[in-house]
Amino acid sequence: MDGPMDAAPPPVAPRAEPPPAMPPPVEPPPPAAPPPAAPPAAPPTGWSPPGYASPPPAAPPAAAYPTFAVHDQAPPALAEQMHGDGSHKGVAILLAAAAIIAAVVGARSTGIASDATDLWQSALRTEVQRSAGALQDISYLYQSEVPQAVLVMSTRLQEAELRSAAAATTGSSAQALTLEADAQAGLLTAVGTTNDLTGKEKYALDGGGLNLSLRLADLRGENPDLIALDPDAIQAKGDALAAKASSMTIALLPLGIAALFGAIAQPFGGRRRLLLGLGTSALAIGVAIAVYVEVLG
Amino acid sequence: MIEVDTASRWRSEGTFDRVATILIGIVAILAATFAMQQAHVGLAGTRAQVMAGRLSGDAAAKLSTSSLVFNAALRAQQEALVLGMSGVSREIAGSTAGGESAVAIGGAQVAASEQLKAALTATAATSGKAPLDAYTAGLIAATDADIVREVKEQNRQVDIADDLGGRQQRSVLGLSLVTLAGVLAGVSAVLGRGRAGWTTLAVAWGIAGAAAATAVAVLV
Repeated sequence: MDGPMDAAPPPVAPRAEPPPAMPPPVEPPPPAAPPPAAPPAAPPTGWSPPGYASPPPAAPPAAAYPTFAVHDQAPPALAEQMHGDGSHKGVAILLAAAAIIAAVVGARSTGIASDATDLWQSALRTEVQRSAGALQDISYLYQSEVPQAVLVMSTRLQEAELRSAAAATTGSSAQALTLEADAQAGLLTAVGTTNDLTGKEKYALDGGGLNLSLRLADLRGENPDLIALDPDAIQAKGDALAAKASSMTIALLPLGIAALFGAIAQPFGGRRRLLLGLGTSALAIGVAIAVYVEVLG
Repeated sequence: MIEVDTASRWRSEGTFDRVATILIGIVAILAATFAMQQAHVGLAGTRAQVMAGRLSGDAAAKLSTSSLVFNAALRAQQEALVLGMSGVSREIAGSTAGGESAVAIGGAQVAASEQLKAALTATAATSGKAPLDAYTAGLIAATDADIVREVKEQNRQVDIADDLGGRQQRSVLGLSLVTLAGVLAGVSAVLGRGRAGWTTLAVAWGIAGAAAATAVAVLV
């Protein structure tokens, strides 16, 4: 909705120099096809009632003080003042370049951020996979092998002590001790060979006992891929990519400033060159940041 | 000569254009700012969530491992104690009943029990040591204090993710406001320099100001 100032005035004809005191005469129609009567010309600026002859304007040279007919558009000189050199190419190019580069930077940053997120999620999955694999081996050792190994150790020690005691005594006591030792040996035969922890000499400690770490390391070594899992390394790669993506978005700020300068260069025609220069500088800074992060980040 | 109304109108047009284009430029900067904030906050929030998940899994694994190792050691010690008690019982029973054989067997069991305790102590000392890989060794060697510390860190990461999630929502709100301000700036340009155009432009400026306040709120 236009305001009162925006009401379109009636069309006017350019005023001749010097302005006539009376409306100009209607041109004679061409002989071939006489057109309808030409619309009456609107009164020019400084319109005077018929019969009144205004004095001629006093003297300033026409070139120094141009006068214009009143119409709806800004006169050429004012338009020149408003739009600077009259060329909008600089503004258009700056705005388009800022928009395109910002889009490229944003897309690239989003892609890198997506890769970083993928790596982080992969680190989480790897963490779960690693802990599950370790827990499986630990559970097998401490819930299945160790209780049986303790039974075997106990049986072996009892057999040894019983035979030692039997050797130190005579008579019925020695016989009872030997029978008890034989019973323990039978039990040992039944369970001792089914347990790798107690069945292999390499797990036996010199002073008695078993090397659980060595056994667990062997269990874990059966799946070397699970040992090689390193979620920390994967996360570190994701961190590096995230830092790169974040750094690249910094380039958007000077690109936005370039857009600001490009936008205000249009109405501020008097300072257009300065504003376009500033905008171009901001654009260059944004591009430099993006390239630096892409190449060295 | 330029009439007063016309000159005033040209001046109004210039002011309107300048106010509108400055707003458009500010909208561009705000959009860039929110995009930057969105990237930073979003990535940091995602990382905190992932860290919370990883720490949660690691703490659960350490708790399970601790329970397994502790229970195995406890059962083994109980085995040794039961053997010793069995031997002592046989000795007492043999002494009471005059059974020399029972006393001898009981004595052997008590001796075996003592040796078993020593062997189990030596066995337990090997848990979580070389040549075990570092991760598995860490699971076994983790103390209660380590687990508590890890749970606290996990909770901290959850709090960080929650805080950053709120900031991300504010950032999205700011982006929406910036979009609205940009659209209203365009609408004001279509409406022209009349009262409606100026009103729309003023509203767009107000919304852009609210978006700028939101950008500050994301940072704080």
